[in-house]
Amino acid sequence: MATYIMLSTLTDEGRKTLKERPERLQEVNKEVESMGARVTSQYAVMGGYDFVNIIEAPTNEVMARLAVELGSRGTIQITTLPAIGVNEFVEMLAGKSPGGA
Amino acid sequence: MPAYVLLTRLSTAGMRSVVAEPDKLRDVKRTLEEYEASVLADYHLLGKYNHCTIFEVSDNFRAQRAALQLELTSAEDTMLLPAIDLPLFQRMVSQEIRTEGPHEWQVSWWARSIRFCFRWYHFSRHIWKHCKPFTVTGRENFQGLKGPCIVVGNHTSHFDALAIYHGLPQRIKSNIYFGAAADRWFLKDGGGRKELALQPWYNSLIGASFPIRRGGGSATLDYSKWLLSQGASLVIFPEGTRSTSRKMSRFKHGVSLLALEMGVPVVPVYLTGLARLRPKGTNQIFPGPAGAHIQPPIVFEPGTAVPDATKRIYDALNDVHQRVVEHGDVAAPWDWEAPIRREAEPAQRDAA
Repeated sequence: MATYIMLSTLTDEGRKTLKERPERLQEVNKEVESMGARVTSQYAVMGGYDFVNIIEAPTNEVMARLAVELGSRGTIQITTLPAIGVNEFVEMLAGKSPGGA
Repeated sequence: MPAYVLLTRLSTAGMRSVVAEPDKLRDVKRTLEEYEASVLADYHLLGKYNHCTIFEVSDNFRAQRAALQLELTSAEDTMLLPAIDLPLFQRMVSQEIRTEGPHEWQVSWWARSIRFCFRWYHFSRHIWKHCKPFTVTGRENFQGLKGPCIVVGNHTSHFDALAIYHGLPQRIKSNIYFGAAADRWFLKDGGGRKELALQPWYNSLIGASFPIRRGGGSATLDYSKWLLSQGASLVIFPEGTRSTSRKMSRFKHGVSLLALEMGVPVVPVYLTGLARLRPKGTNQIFPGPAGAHIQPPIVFEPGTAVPDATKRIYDALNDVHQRVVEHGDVAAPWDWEAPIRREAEPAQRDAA
């Protein structure tokens, strides 16, 4: 499974939904799982984004579908960044793994 | 401990040095650790940012210093996002409509009588069962005090309030109230959970607690002032939440504001052993030695500035904390350097 960082910002509609039904956050996580991905950790943050989600998904396609599905509801705007564990990335750069050969 | 998400974009020079020496990429983690942060996860990213690090550190100031250090060395741009634990965030979102209390009836004669009957059940039995031994020192520091006072302590465990209560002299115990986070202990109907300890009425009646709304501004102190004006003493943990680092977190100013406005003394109590006994983040209890060490009271002169008062309270507890870090729990009593002044007191002797 590959790792992705999903940065999301609530729209006005999203803020209203969250205020009325905070438990909606968990429901979204279940929907994410039903689409073949998994939320491994999740934070509400202050600053340029409202939530940072770390998600595992088997392929970019699954992740793209997820981003479109969630974005189409009009409650959040999403930025998805494919992520690589720093240790693996350093090894890849150093040519120790097939990716860096 | 607060968590942060740090998104970093490397500068061209930073990129070059990473390609030449890939291990440089671990500098983000190393820099954060230099600022006493604990890195929870670390990713290299494709896209708008190059790096995502999730870490915990004691306060915003340290987090900001570390981010600035990265910008000065390798990063072109950093975005530091203070992160909030999601369940807490959800509770906070609905806090306004879902908390209840304070309950003024908690100071009435009938409420105090019921509380007296339940003291063993709510407070003492846990100390007797798990704190072996439980050491209390410095009770004599209350001797010169007349009227109400504010007791403050270092906060590392849910056991702290029980330990402070157990360590206090009877006169203070009989009329004392504990400041408790409204978003945890005073959720309407227990936030849908059935546990007795999460019901607001139970916490007001048996636990002698009153709600403090985090981030509620000076209005959150109104009830505390009312309690003091009724002759009641208060227990407040000025760190605001349980600390998990070896350093004490910064103190909030609420205690100083109360002490200065109401003209009451502040009594610091340093608690030992409880972070090991009932650590934050787990429901497990690991029986072991613990203690409540009452320090000399602090009386503020009229006209003392609030930041100065807060610093004085902080220093009073932090000095003990530094001694304990250096010499162990034995250095926690206020007169630890005086010869043979202390004795380990079996908890059972201090029947509530």
